[in-house]
Amino acid sequence: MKVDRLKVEGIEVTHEVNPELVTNVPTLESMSECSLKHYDAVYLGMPYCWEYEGNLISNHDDLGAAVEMLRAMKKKVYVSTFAAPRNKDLKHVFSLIDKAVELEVDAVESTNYGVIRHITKEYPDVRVHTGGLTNIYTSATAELLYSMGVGRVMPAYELPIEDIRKIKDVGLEVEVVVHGKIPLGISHDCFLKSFADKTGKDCPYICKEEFWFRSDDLVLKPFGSATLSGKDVCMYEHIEKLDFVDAMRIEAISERIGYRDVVGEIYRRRINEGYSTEDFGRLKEMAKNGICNGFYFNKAGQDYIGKAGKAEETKGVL
Amino acid sequence: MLELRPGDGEALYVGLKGFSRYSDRYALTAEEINELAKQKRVYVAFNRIKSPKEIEEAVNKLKGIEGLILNDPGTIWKLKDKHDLSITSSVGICPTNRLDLEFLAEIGCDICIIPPELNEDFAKAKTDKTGKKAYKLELFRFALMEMFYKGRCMLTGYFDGISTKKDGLCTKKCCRKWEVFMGDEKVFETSFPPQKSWLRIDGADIVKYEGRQIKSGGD
Repeated sequence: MKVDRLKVEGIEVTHEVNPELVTNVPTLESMSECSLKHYDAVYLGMPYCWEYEGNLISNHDDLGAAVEMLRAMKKKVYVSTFAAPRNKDLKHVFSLIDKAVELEVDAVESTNYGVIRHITKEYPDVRVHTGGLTNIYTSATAELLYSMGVGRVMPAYELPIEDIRKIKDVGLEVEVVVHGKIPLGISHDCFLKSFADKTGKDCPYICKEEFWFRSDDLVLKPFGSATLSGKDVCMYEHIEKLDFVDAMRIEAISERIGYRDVVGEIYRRRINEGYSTEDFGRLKEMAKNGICNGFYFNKAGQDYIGKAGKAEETKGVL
Repeated sequence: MLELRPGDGEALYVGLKGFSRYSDRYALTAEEINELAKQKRVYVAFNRIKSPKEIEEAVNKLKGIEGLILNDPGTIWKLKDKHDLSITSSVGICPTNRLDLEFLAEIGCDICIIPPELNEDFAKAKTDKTGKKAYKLELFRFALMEMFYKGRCMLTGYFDGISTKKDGLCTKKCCRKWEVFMGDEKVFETSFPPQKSWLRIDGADIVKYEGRQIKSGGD
């Protein structure tokens, strides 16, 4: 695949990259061939709540059907696990891992050091990916995980590109989020559940609604035990700066099917054919609360720096 | 932060300027720590994320201390064999289950601190298990329960460009008034200020009282 590098300081450069384009889906209901055709690989399951209706990490029959569907589409299949498992959750995590092993998925993703170590010890043939909430801030931690047999890491969301590159230098595969809402915190309980009295909606149906926390111009999106960025991280204009990574994720766990479909199509075109003003405009329109760069440029995560290197106001179409 | 060990005298947790969370206002210089270590058992917090090399260079300037509190698994793993010091995993690593504690012990932790929300989980785990533990468990007796698990919040970095993990400062965005919208409809307002909490400590080898954030008024 060839990516045409944008003109940087007047010089146009071309560069060969071949990143895996990946996304995540929470339920069988949210999977459609059409919405996944642009991706090379898919993470299955919603890692922030066991009770999320239809969650593939809780419904093993659905998980089997989802794996079968992706295999038929010749996609790689990864299974996510619960993000912050307590002691009481471990038996469910073990059961999920057993199921993933039985289904011969291509990798199991975890963000919990204990679970990661458990898999690398008990299932040495299973490929392990670590998610962004694992809090991998240093190349020393990446080295440790590499020594344990982990195949791929997603560095901490807060790291800038130069620190992610250092982690890549350790030798394992690196995956980053190039588009979507990133988790900014995880709690021991679900905020939405506690809103039942005030909203008239109870678990699990409350999750079918879209909730936002707003404070002046600050926006967050509660989702299970995680709270996501209100803005969509968007690296569409800057994708060449991440050309050293092995996988680029479209984070779509809290989104509807259409989002995954359109954003995947746009990023696939970006990787294969290059930049399109029209596509970038469409991404901005789809981001209800605007776009941001996340933490890639050593700025506040909600800021957006455009290709000209200037901060931009990017409020989307409401 | 004061650490109390019943029948074992008093030890102090101190921060080293430039390496401790929250702020440098109450942190000490290496010289001050070395002086303190002549009278007390001193544990030094290196709970801002730095490279293992930076931390090692700073540790080499300290004399007579008892142990280190570290906030990064890779740093624990790299430093463990370089010093004959006790290693405590900071609550910022946020172990949430017994496998996490076994992992931390395996990479070199002597003492593990767990998030205060989970004290009861580990009290039960202790009564369930009869085997000898490879680590000591440090529990909060008093703590601020926050919007997210300690060490798992990126709001300050996201909104203000300051990483609590790397820069040590928290701008307490959780304490703002937040309007809760369901779709486009505002349904109520809420806030998530830290809650002062007294906690069960069954199963603790070491007990801890959170204090710095309260003294400093929130930074």
